[in-house]
Amino acid sequence: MRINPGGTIPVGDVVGRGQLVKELWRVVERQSVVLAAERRIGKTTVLRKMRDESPDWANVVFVDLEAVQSTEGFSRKMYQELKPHVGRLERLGIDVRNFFSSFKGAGAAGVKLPEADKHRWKELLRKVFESFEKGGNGKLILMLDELPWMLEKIYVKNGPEEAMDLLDFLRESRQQREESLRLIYTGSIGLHHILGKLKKDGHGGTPINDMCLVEVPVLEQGDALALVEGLVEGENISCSEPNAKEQLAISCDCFPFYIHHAMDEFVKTGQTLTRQTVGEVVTRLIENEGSPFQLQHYHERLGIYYPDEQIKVVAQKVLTILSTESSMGRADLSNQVNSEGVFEDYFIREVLGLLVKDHYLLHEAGQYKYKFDLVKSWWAWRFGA
Amino acid sequence: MTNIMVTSFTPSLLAHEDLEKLFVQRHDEVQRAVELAVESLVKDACHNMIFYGPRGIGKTHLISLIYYRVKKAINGEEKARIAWLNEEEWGVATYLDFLLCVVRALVEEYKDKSLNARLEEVFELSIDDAELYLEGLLANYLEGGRLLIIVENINEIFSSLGSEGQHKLRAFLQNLEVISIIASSTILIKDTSDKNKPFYGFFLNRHLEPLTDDQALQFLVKIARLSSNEKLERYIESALGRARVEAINNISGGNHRVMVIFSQFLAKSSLEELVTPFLKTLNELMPYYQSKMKDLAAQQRKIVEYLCEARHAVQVKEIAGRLFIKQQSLSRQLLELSKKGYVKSERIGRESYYEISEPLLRFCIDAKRKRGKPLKLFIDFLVIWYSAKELQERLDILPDNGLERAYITEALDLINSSREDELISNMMTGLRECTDKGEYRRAKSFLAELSKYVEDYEILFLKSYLLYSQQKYEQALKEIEEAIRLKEEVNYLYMQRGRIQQRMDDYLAAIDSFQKVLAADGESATVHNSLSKNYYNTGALDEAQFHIERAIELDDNKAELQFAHSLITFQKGECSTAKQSALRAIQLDPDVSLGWMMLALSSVGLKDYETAESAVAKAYEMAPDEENIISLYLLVAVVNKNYDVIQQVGNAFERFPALNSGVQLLLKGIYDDEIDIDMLGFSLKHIVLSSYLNERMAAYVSLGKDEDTIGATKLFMCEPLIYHNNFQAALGCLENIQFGNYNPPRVYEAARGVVVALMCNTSQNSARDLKQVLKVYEGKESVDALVYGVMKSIPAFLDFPYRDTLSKVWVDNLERALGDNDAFAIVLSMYKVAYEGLVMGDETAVLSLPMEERRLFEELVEGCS
Repeated sequence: MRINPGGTIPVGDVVGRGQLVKELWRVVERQSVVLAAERRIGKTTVLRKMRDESPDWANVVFVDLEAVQSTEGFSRKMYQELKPHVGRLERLGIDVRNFFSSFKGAGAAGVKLPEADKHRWKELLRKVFESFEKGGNGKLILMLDELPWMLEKIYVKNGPEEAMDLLDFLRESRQQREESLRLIYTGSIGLHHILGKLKKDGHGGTPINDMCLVEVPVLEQGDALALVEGLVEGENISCSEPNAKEQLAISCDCFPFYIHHAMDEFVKTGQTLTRQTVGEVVTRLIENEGSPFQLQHYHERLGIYYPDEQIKVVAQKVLTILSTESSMGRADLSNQVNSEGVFEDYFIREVLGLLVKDHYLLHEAGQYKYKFDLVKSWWAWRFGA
Repeated sequence: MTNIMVTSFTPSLLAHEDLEKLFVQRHDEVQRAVELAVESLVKDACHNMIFYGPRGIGKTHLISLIYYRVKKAINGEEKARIAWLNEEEWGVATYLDFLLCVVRALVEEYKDKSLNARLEEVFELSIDDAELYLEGLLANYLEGGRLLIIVENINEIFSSLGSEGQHKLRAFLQNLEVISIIASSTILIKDTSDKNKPFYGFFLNRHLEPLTDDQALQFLVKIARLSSNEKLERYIESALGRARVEAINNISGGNHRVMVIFSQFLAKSSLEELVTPFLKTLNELMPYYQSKMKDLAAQQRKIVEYLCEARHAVQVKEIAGRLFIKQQSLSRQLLELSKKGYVKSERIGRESYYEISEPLLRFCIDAKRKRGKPLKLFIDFLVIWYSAKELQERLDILPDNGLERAYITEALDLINSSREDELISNMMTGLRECTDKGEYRRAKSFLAELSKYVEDYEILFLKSYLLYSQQKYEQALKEIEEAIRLKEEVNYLYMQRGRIQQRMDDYLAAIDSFQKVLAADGESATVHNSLSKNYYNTGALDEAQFHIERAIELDDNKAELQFAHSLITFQKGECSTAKQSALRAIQLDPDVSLGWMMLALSSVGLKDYETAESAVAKAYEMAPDEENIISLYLLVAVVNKNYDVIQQVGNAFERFPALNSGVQLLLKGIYDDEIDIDMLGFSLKHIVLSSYLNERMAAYVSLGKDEDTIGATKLFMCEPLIYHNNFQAALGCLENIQFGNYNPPRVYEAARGVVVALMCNTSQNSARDLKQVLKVYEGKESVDALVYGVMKSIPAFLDFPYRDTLSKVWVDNLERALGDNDAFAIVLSMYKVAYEGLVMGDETAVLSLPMEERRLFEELVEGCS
């Protein structure tokens, strides 16, 4: 096993995730899924593992949508990815070549498409889904990676209606084809951000309330340790203290991306893995601005996730207070955040909810605490008293 | 490949084997990259890497090597493909361009006409369709296979792609899952380290470090070898060449390209040939850097120009002060410049220091600013690479005007302002390294090379130093005398002469040399110490004491000086002072056995045997194989009757059969009846005297606890004293001893020792010495003891190593000295038989002895060779 924090790992080398994949297939058999995941936690690896370990009834297609910026682009992308089925499409009476050329011609000339043409992309997708259904190939499992990013682009470029239209269409499709279609939405930014924007614009539908929300967690501690051990062996890193491996796994929050990078420091420097060197390396990676951990991102993205200045201020306060506490109840947190009585209680509760959704915090047994100790350490180092 | 032209040194154009030959420093990085690339091409994995570093740091060399090695490693893998987008791929402005470049690189690499034909179709399409078409084309082409894209300057490509293009590229890679990228970049790309960007965390980053001095040296040697320039190769590997390469590496910032440029200059014989191509190189780079500078905000340009001028790392507050920029604003600008790769920072304590990250940028800006005037970098280079002598010679033949004259004049000014002391110092260091390691041949070539650069007297000095290190003192003296003749006002020449004279035991001459240094340079502890040593050697202990005390006044923190003081005062019989100095020496440096040894000796002088034993025990602990320490330890142990130590240390005689005979004799004399001689491994056959003990014999004589012991000691002192050519002292001992007080065997044994010692020192004077000895024995009515001694010396005579040449002399001497005394008649006839029969081989000689004498003789020589 070699260090490979950002590339593609052979499915055979993927450590852990077996239980998660089984659970996902169990859910997918029943309903579509929104797969939430912090960036670089290994979501794509999970999807690839799902695909490789798919049951007989599932016909999996993975589509990365981050290059797509319109419903037209979406339909093009789907066509390209579903090309293996194009023969069946033609049998269904669709002239694919003309379909796209008329579409393209209108768009390129800057002519506003007639209402009927505006929705032709739906027609194609309906036919595609239909072909699967009729072909008796089991269920089509469409993994739509970076869907939130695509929706964001469509929202900005073509307006909220088009984004909402796409979401509604996808909802209608999976509901109409309960026996033959499952969708898996995923992406590096939370879907709730775009849904929140759409809601604000008056599109208060429920485009995902029929889907099951599953979150990709960090690795189990045993799996994280196995990953460290695999890398120690694969990269021929010397290790003089066996418990140093466990320490590395834990101090990287069992987060595979951070584990790979921390191990890479040992490859670069040729240092021996000991409890002391692990402590030094992880501290350096937390505090060094140029480090691949890039933990300052958790601070910088507050402004992007929460353009509302008040939300941002409260979020910042909450995170700073919790960075030096093991955990706190909502009442205590509210008292400390709201010492000057500026914010309403419900508002603070709403911010706490956002911080949970955005992977900053965990809410367990009435207590709030940091989800990742690495982020907590960085926050305490940067903003703590 | 036999020759490399600097202006065409483009690694991507060099053959694989030449790239391998030139490769230094990054073996591990390349091996790892190749392994990962191969894994990406033959397995279900995608590894993505970026190597980043400033221009000229060797990125293209490294990338080219990776390409060749991967290509070789996957030879035969039908479905593994490589597309190398080299640094000349300037045409990438969009995602579509990138895809086009990849397909073209594949067409070029695999001469794939069919792919080329399909590529032509793309030009009929709109941009969006063309992107889809090319994505499809690549997907189709790679079906069942895998692709490695090698990209140089990926930072520029990412910048052209923009956010949208990067998203498209990433989506394409993610959807296809068979493409991996190995790339180089001049900067750490923000797009790969910002969590909001699509390529966040996608690549494994590797920073390329500049060349260390050793690596720069290896690099230049390899360039010289590849260019078949043996002369340059030898020069670079010489001590002087090495010193200069280190200096050049320093000014070039460890930059490979600058070293390549310089390597070309090193081979040129004329300065004329250097200036023009160097400026040409800079001129070629100028437009690139000018355009980079134009991209900067005015304030950022000002900062970059200031840092170029500073030529070293500068603190933020200094830049702020000089440029009238507020610190907060400056920090922001520096951060921005750092991200863009213009500057690099280092944090020392609480301060951040900034400097230009690309040496070539600095040189270009310097060249632009001083257009038409000499470049600082080039002047530095001239000063490092040429001597004042060479530059002056060149200047003398140049016309009055011209760029080259301006360069050389400035270089000479710089040399005059900094003098060549540093060079001399570097030479000495290099020479010392060679001589310390015993690499005399290398040192000689070093000297030969140096002779071109420094004055004649300096070369003579260095030659002398080298000869001195080889213990060729006479020749060393000759060279240094010649140096003094050429430059009599240079004092270090006298210092060197004094050292040589001291080694040649010409102490008076050495004193004269050191006195000259003292008179000219003023007082120094080193010179006083040297004077003290030489006065000590002449026996002038008062002067020796005076100078060592002056040395200590000037430097009272040197254990070595305290030790010398202890030795001198000990010799003068001032044992209390000697002890004090020994204690001070130990205080200054407790880890040196000499201090403990002097403490032991001075304590013996003070009859404080307890302190002596603990001190010598400490010395023994530090140096268990030092013979003199073992001797003294035994001696003190014998006096203290410490049998444990005697047994413990006594086995030293087995380890050192030639151990100090003086101590052996003393021990034997004092404890003849009490100590098992065999146990101690005594063997008088192995007597080899130590000069150390000889010098201090008189001191040991005072060891005895009573008169009887002293007498016994003196009795056995005679033999070693004779060995040490101190015949008069030995005679004095003999005269002072009352033979009648001792057992006859002791007296007889002592006489045998005296005769054997005289025999070993055989010379024309031996007959005279023997006569004096005889006179003493006659005076003490103990002639029979001497007869016994002469007779018992016959076996030693037969073991005499020089018997062929000196045996006859010895036999004649015996005859002349003792022939008149009838008591020696029989023994002298035995000697004659021993000589004629056993030395000269006359088997009948023994028959000349009467039967009873013959039996006695045969018993005597039984077992002899």
